[in-house]
Amino acid sequence: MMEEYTPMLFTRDHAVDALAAGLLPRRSLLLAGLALAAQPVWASTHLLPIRIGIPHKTLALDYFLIDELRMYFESRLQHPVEAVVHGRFNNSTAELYRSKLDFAWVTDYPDAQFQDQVRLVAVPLYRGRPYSSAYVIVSAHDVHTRSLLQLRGAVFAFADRLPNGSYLDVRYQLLTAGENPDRFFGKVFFTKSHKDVIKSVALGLAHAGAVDSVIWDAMVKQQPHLTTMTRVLAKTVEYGAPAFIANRRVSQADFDNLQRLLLAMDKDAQGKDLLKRMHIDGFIAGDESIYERQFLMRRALGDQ
Amino acid sequence: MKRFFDLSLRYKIPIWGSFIIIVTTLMVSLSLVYKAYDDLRESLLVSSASLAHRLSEDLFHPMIEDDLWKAFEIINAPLVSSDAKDRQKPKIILILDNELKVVASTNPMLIPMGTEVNQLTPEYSMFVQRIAESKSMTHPTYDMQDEQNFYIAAPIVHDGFTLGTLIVVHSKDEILWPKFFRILIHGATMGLIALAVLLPINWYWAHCTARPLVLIGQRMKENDLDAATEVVDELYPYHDELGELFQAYKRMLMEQKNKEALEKQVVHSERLAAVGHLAAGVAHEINNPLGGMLTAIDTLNAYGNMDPRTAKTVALIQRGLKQIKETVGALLVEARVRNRDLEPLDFEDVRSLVFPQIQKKELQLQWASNLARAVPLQANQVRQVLINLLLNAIQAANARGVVECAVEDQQTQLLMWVENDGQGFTPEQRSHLFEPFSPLSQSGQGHGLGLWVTYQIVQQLGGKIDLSQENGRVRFSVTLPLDNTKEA
Repeated sequence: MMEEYTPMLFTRDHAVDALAAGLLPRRSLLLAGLALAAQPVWASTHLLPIRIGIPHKTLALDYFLIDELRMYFESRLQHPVEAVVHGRFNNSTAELYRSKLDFAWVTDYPDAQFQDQVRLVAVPLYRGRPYSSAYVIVSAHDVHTRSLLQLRGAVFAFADRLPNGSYLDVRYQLLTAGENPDRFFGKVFFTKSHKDVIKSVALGLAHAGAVDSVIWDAMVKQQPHLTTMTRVLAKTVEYGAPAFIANRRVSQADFDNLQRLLLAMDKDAQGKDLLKRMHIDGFIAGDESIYERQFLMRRALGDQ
Repeated sequence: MKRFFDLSLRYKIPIWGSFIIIVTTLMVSLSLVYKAYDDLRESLLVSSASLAHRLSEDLFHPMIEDDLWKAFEIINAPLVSSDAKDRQKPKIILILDNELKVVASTNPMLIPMGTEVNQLTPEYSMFVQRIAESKSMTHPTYDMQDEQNFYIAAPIVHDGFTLGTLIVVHSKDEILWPKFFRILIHGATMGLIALAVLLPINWYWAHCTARPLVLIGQRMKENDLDAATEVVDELYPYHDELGELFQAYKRMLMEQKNKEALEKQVVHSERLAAVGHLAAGVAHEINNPLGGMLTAIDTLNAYGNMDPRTAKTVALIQRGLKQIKETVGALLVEARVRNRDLEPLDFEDVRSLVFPQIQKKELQLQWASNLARAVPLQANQVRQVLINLLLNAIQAANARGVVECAVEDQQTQLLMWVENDGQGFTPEQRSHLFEPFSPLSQSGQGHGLGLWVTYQIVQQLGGKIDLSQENGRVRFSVTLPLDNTKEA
């Protein structure tokens, strides 16, 4: 009976091998065991792949790139990998906690609420440093605005409302300038994508917006007609780059495998090509001190 | 205007026809174009309304979640449609909240967020007012149009809860007019093609109808009736009313011609009869004293002893009187007492009698007779008629020419005709043909009474004499009725 389903990801034998090799997460293993007894075919298709949450719009990765990344992981890990494109998820860390994902590349780390449940796997390097920064941009027609504080009452666009980088930083700057960050702008909206922040400012829907500097720089080359319609007003202070994190329940072996893979990505040609397309120099193991400043800002804004 | 109606049919018919064709084509084209315009406008409104309805449904959730970007993306999507042929692309789409302030528009530079509706062009305020006035907000969409634009509105509503209004604006310049102009050009092209086909047909038809009318009119003006009849058959061989009119006209012409000929003949006959009466009267009055005079001279010659001089004078008088008697005798053609019936042999006699003359002129005589019985006609008179005609023919024939004579027994009548190849008669000559002392006697021989006598004899026998000239031949035909009852 099983042989009829060979196109499936795992046959019973494969699953047993995988268990023996310690490749599967603990919970998956448990469920897999149950499923093997009860309904092996169903079990093999649903539980065994490694599920990695990969941001789509917030990191401006296209679907081809995400799929190639997934296949790269799959071939290097010798294990099926399922890419869960988030973007429609509000909070990747929360998803991680609910064990729907094994790993995730998130823009909201560290989320204090779930910090016990996750482990940092790797941090990307932008221009050689594990930090990102954001530009505050205004329309190119707006030649009068010189600083963030002149944008009182303006319509402001952020990529997302997750308590990370630009959203955090802009509000923190307002707070330190003695303004109420929640009342300063006339209207705030979220585009869920850095590209759309540029677009909304270029079209005039928003007076100003905050956009990841790496993505804006890349857009200068890719879609200059959009970026030329905007002007960089200010650059934020550096903050920790979006982290690659693991569910704490993931086995050490899986954790090590993926971490080793990420750290060595810049060593092989295919990995190098993918990194280049993501505008990343490489990954380092990193530590929580990179995100120190985010902690401070969040605490000051009372977000946590 | 009168000047137009005075124009020749040659121009009037095609001008009228062309005028009617052009007016008809114009009206048909215009009505089709108008219908197309109406359909176009209707379909634009329907598709716009469905777009507005769909967008407003999609907008409710982003708006209630205050997802401005999502809302903007929804309204912007129809405008950035990559299909270049999508000519129904709206000009602008905007979302109004319940306070009538702009939430988002597809052109935020022009209409930024927070703009109040009365800050926009007045059409928007009018439109919003009109929607508010139509109490039942149950309509899925509303529409309005001014000179430049169509405005379509749809409430953003869910379960009766209204968040605002979506307004879709279509520019007529961008959508309606280009399509309409294409329809217009298409219509105009079809109209021109129709005209290009119909106008030449009209011209040809008008030409066919007008030409015979015009030609007949001309001929009538020139009083050339023969030519007018020819025109009818050549130019209009059809049997419609016009054709029948032409045929009737032709018949009328023929009848008139016949009537004229008949009248001429009657006048001619009457003149001949009057002349005949006069001549006969005069001849009688002369004949009686003449007979006495001749008798007296005979008596004188028999008994009187005259000196030679007197005798010479009396002989002179006697010859003169005889000549008068001969002439008067010729004028006095009287039905003499019937002597005997006509027999085939009589014609042989006539032939023999004229033969020396034929030979003298080296003519060719063609003789044909199918008479094989005695017929009840006075032989002397028929012989005289035939001799007269033959002598005339011999005299008129060309040297070494042909004279032809035929006799046909047709049971109820006897037909004789004599033909020669000599010169024909002029119309002037023909009109005085059978009169006595006519100037026809070209050679100057005879007394010019031959044809007159012939005519009188034929009249007395109740027959007819006709002249016809065809193919260079001159033919006298005589028909004499046969009173067969007597024979029976």
